[in-house]
Amino acid sequence: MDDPHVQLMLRFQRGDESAYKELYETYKIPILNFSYRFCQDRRVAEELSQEVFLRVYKTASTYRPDAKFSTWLYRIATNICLNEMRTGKYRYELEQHHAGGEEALSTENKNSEFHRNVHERIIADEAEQSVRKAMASLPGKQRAALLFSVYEELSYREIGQRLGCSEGAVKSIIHRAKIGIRDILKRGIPRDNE
Amino acid sequence: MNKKCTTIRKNLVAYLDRQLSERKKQALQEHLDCCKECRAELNELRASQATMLLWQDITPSEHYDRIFEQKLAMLKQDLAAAKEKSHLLTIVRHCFNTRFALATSAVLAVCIVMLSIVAFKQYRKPSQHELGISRDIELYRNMEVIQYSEALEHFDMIQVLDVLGQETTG
Ligand SMILES: [Zn+2]
Repeated sequence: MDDPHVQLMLRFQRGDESAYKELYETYKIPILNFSYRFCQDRRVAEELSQEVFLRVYKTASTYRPDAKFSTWLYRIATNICLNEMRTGKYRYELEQHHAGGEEALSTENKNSEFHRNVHERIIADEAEQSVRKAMASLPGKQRAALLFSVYEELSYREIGQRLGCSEGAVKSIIHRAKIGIRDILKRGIPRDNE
Repeated sequence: MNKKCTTIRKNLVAYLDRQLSERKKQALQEHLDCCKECRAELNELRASQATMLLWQDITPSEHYDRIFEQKLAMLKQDLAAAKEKSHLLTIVRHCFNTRFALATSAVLAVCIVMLSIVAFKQYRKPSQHELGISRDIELYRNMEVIQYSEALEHFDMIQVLDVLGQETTG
């Protein structure tokens, strides 16, 4: 396996903590964004993505280099997100402990978009709202498949490996998801024809 | 919508995702060249895909790394504690598995050997002579019945029995 991240993971398995740190630095933002788009709550997403890396640390001994490292990592991430979708554990805990902390975070989130002009931002926000709504309406597995396809441009084969299903199954999952999103967006936001 | 269009539309998403085989891709492109409706459908899908990409990435919040470090440190502690515990357990289990089991089986084996020696000593096959004696005793007992009923009248017989008794005990 010539995937350099597999090599890092194997090094970590042999006890090299710096290899783990490197994997964390490489994947923390992609995993955070996957979790964020999946659950649509920044704080929950941060908890979930951290749990992914803790799980990697904890289960390192069971890791087998039989696929790309990212396949294994996103399989963990998907399971954790699906689990949160089912139980709502973090959402509940955060609601209990940090009631009222939302504002500070959303302001910070907006800061990154500050350089864009106001008009552009309004349109982007509107589009984002529609996409969020459409995404939230999808069942868990479809949602994960769609995120892998749209934001990572993965092949159906790789998505299948991450989700543990066949290429054919992925094709039909993504077809359904994208048609569904298209329908919701068509109804939701007025847009010029291309 | 004709049958051809239905088939084509099933493949539009895969076409946009560049997941169609060369043959299917060509057939689809040929159809798109002459079918306005399917072309419109494709454009809608392309537009919704573009809209999805407007959803901006986020960056970790300020304390993300620090909080993670804390969680990781806690996990390491837990793992170390669990390791310690399992280490102890292994030692105990090891003792039970090897030394304890060995000692127990050795003691058991010795007991069994000793018991069987004792039992063997207690029981051995009777010799022909001893068998003869036991037959005589049996006879003697049968005679005993007679003895009680006719003892006084047949004194001779009692004498015979005495002789027999002496033979058996001698
Ligand atoms: Zn057509």
